[in-house]
Amino acid sequence: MSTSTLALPVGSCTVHFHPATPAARNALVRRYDQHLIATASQASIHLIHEPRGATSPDSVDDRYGFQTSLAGDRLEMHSAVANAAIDLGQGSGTIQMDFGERAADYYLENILRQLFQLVAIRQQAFLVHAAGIRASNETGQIFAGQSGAGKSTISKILAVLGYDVLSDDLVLIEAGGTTPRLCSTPFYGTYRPSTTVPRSTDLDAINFLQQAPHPSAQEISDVAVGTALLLTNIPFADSIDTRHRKELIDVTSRLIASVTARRLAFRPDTSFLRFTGLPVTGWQTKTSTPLRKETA
Amino acid sequence: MSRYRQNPTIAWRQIDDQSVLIDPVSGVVFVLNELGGQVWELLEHARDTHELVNEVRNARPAAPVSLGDDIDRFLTALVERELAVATA
Repeated sequence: MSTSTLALPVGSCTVHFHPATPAARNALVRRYDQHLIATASQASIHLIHEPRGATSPDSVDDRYGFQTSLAGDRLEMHSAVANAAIDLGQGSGTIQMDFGERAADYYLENILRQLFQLVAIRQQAFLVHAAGIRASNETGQIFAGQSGAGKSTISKILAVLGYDVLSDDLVLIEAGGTTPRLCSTPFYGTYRPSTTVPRSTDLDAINFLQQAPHPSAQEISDVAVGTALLLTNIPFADSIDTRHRKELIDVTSRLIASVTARRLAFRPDTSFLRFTGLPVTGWQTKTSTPLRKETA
Repeated sequence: MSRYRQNPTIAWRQIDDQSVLIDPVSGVVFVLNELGGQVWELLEHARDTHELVNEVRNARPAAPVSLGDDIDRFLTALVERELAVATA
């Protein structure tokens, strides 16, 4: 990609970047290559390579902590290894860090996850800490939970069984239309989806994961769903202003009204499937057509 | 010498450096490491232990001298779990 500005779309939310140096461009492309689109947009976030010499990101104790503030449209994020100042209204600003370090991938992603959350909220959408899948009948479900809840395990199981995995860690839900849409993101955990993954599908159900010896499903109240969704949201709520907090609750409320939600107890096998309503495919009996096999 | 091949009903996929196998009857999930995954892929066609050891050693010259025993045990485990079948 030779164009100087690169767009990173997530659902209907797009952020434009202008890597000011090859190091910054390489870091962006290394992490998000398959999702980036060359663009000529004027408004963009400048990625500025700021070598840190002896105080490389790897030598910092708290690599992931950011001090975040949001005043009006101005988002600022500061840490020992990176600084960001972004005007959300204009879609412009700067992100400064040592892009030469491989570890910068993670710092950049930390910033982008929070940035996209704020961009999404303004478009009646939000990021959820969840695995998202699409079934062959083009319906989608998410499996929400904190780290270690089993999102990647379920993603791998469902990938083997032929479902499309949109992300195993962070998905975008668009709740502004008549039907909620589940969108893939470039943000994943341990399972990197293939390049052919669909970008979005209808969202039919939300599953809150709980590992247990025996699989089961339990319906949960709207209040519990709303609380759980907000809790599984990426942790930026402390810094969010009243306007965004209200919009986030509004979007969550709209979503709750239109999808099925359940608490899903599962163990790492396929027994959870019968509680999800996901369509049965040929893999389930030895006499039926074997599942297609593919190498990622 | 017995030859082995994958049980064709097993659903599987390579994901990153793991091979994830699912028994469609029990629903049990098996995750193989890189070496196990390499042997598993070779079992798409029937092979005996000697052939497997040679092919793995060609790809991994630094494989330990116990490779043959390791593969033997691995094949036994696959057959016990009905993930692989012994052929003539």
